[in-house]
Amino acid sequence: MEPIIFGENLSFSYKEKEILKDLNFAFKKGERVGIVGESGSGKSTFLRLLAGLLSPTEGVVSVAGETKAEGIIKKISMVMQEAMLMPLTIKENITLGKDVPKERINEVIKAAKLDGWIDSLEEGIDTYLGDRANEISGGQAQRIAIARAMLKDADIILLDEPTSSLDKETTTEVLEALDRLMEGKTVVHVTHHPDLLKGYDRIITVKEGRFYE
Amino acid sequence: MKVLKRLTAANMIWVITAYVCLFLSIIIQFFWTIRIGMIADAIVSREKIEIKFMFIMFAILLASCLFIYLKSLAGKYATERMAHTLRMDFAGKLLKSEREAIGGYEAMSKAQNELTASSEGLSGIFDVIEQFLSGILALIFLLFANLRFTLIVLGPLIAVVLLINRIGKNLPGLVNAAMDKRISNNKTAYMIISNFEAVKVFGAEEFFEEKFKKELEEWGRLETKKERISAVTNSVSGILSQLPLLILFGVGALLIWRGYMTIGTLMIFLNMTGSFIRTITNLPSWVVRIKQFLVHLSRTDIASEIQH
Amino acid sequence: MNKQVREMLKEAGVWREFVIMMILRSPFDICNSVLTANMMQKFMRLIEQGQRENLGKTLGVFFVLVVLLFGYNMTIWSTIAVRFTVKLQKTLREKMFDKIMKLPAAELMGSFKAEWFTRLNNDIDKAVGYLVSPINFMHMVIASVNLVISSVIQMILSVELYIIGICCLVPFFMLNVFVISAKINLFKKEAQKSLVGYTDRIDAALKEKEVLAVYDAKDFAKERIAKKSLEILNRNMKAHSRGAICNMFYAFSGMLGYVLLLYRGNDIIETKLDDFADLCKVTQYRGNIVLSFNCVLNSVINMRGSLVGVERVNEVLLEEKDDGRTTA
Repeated sequence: MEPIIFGENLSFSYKEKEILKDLNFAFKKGERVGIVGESGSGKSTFLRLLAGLLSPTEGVVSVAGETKAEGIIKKISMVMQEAMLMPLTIKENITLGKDVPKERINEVIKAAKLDGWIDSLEEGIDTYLGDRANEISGGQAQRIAIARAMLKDADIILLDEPTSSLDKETTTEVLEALDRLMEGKTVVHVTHHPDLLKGYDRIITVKEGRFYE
Repeated sequence: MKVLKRLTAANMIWVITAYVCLFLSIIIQFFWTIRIGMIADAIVSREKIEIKFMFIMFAILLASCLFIYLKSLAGKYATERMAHTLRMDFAGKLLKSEREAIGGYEAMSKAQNELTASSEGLSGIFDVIEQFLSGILALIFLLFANLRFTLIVLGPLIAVVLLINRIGKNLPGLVNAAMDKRISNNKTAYMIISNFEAVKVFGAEEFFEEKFKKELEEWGRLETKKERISAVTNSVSGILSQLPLLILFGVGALLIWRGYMTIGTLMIFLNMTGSFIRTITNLPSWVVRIKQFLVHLSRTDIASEIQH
Repeated sequence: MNKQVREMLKEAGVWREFVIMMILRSPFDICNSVLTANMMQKFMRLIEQGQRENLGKTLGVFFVLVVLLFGYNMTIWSTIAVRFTVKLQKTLREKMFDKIMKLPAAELMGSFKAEWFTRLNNDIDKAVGYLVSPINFMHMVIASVNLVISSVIQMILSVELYIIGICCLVPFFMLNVFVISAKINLFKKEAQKSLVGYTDRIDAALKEKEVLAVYDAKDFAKERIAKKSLEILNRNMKAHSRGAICNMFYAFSGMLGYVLLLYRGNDIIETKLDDFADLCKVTQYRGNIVLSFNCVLNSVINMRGSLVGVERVNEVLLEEKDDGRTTA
């Protein structure tokens, strides 16, 4: 099978500091890949190269047949460590302006386990999160971010430590929502906690900018 | 006002120094103007001007310039210190609050807009106070110099001030409305910049572009309205401020012909009243400036938000 | 006109409107100067010669002229000038926003966020301010027209008195523009950078609030912010102290010139000037020249500071980029 994501001699440097060196990798469609490593090893940088948010200094990265940033970004969904919620309504934070049928919005809200909480709010999905977007719990924020990612329905899911700032109980809730997001998708999950990668097809360790399996 | 009082109290010594220098600078200018009047009388009487007289003029000139320098420096230093206190107050309150007083977007908008506008306003306010004080002290001097003449001219002046104030009544409301829209637009911009990765990944560029441009359009509409009214207000006050000058000439001529004063005294009145007229002419724009400044200043004060 | 400013106006599509606005607004100051000087001369002559019968008529004529002049200015200001200012601000913000939206994500990471926000906000304000805010480019042009025409008129009235006035004015003007105020722009630019740094540190402190609380590091964060704030103060004061020297020299040259004009004017009445009224007219034009010089000087100083905004706006809007990919 043709890999859906691959990289050849991929390197990335920033301000003359080499962060990733000469990476060669190939991930198959539907594969779940975990990326672990110490802080500063280059894990998040690697993920951003896969997302098309950064461009390689040398080498090539291909994601779902796309090698250019604008094309790659359309093929992926991403859940980051920070939920990146904005002072908009819950609905707007999920749809980000897209015209989406109500049924589809309800579908992703249910899948992300937000329905109970949203039903308890006076204005429901039209509740304005405002400037104080962090007054909602970390778990709720991340589930909104997951709902947003579900809505895009991309074949490739990139996860950048989505549970690192959450407590154990909330992590469990968020992981349940993430499981639904990841169903049938190709997943690359960056984390500090290898125990979150149970059942993953491959685990790659990043050390001093290089891959070790 | 509360914020301004706090800033002034925190930098009292510099504010007092600035005002002392300002006061002395104005008083020395008065001596200069009186002597100019004496020169004008000598010219009209076809008398020679003594060299000794010119040396005294030169001494007053040097003193005047020195105090102009000191007043400028002290005034700017006082306002810069107040601006620094304001910035530190803002930062201190943000860090001190147990829960978040304001969100990141609003903080950045305040740091960029309100603090900057307040700092610049503080700098400009000293200039406004200087000109205002010049005008008021000039009026006091003129009342002592020739009470009858001053009162004849003063009546129309007061009428002009009242009329000008009425004309500019709607302006502060429009200023606030335009500023609010601008802040809203800035908040949107900051939100987008802060969450740029999410915007890119989820293709929300078009959505935010529409929001930003709609807010900008609304700001444009309000700003145009505000500027138009400002143009009318300032122009009308410019016309009205010429009235006292014409009255000065008219009444001055009559009093000179009747022997109640000399041309030299009229010259003193022209210079001093000019100072007062400048105060009147600029009053609407100063009032707008001060109100705008106080609005900016109050918006930097997040103390009330922390209390809730 | 500065090339950067011209390019910015063309990029914003308002170059033609700007030129029309400047042409229409330029005559105001000189017309006001001519009106005031003639008012002074007419009334002084009336008083000296005891022409009681002409007093009322003269008052009426000058009032009508004032109304017409200010009415013209109000019309141009409230229509063309306002439309231009708002259109320029809107267009620049839209274009800057469009540029930001097309940036690669790497250019908006970390401390660059405050930088881009400053460009969209403060820099555009400065750029627009360069052209239309008080005592900037527009006032410089209007004052320059006043200066040139007033000079010609004063020379026609009395070359000698004009030379006295110029000798007291020009050396100090040159000193102010080319020596004292030359570095003001640099200091203001540095102060602007410090402001970006201050904003950045506020942003960082907000984001790391919990960390600062846990590790009792709020004072440390506040100290860092204080350092930046003091930097703004010090850099602004460098600019202000030079401004204070400029004010002092301006006052010195203005007052010296005036008293010398009166002193020498007294000697040449009945030979080169008709009467005290003529001397008043000369001093009035001289006053206009001094005010215009001062306006030009202060405009140049302010423009130097505001030009920073124009340059920073153009850095982004006029930059040629390929597909926008980031490379380290």
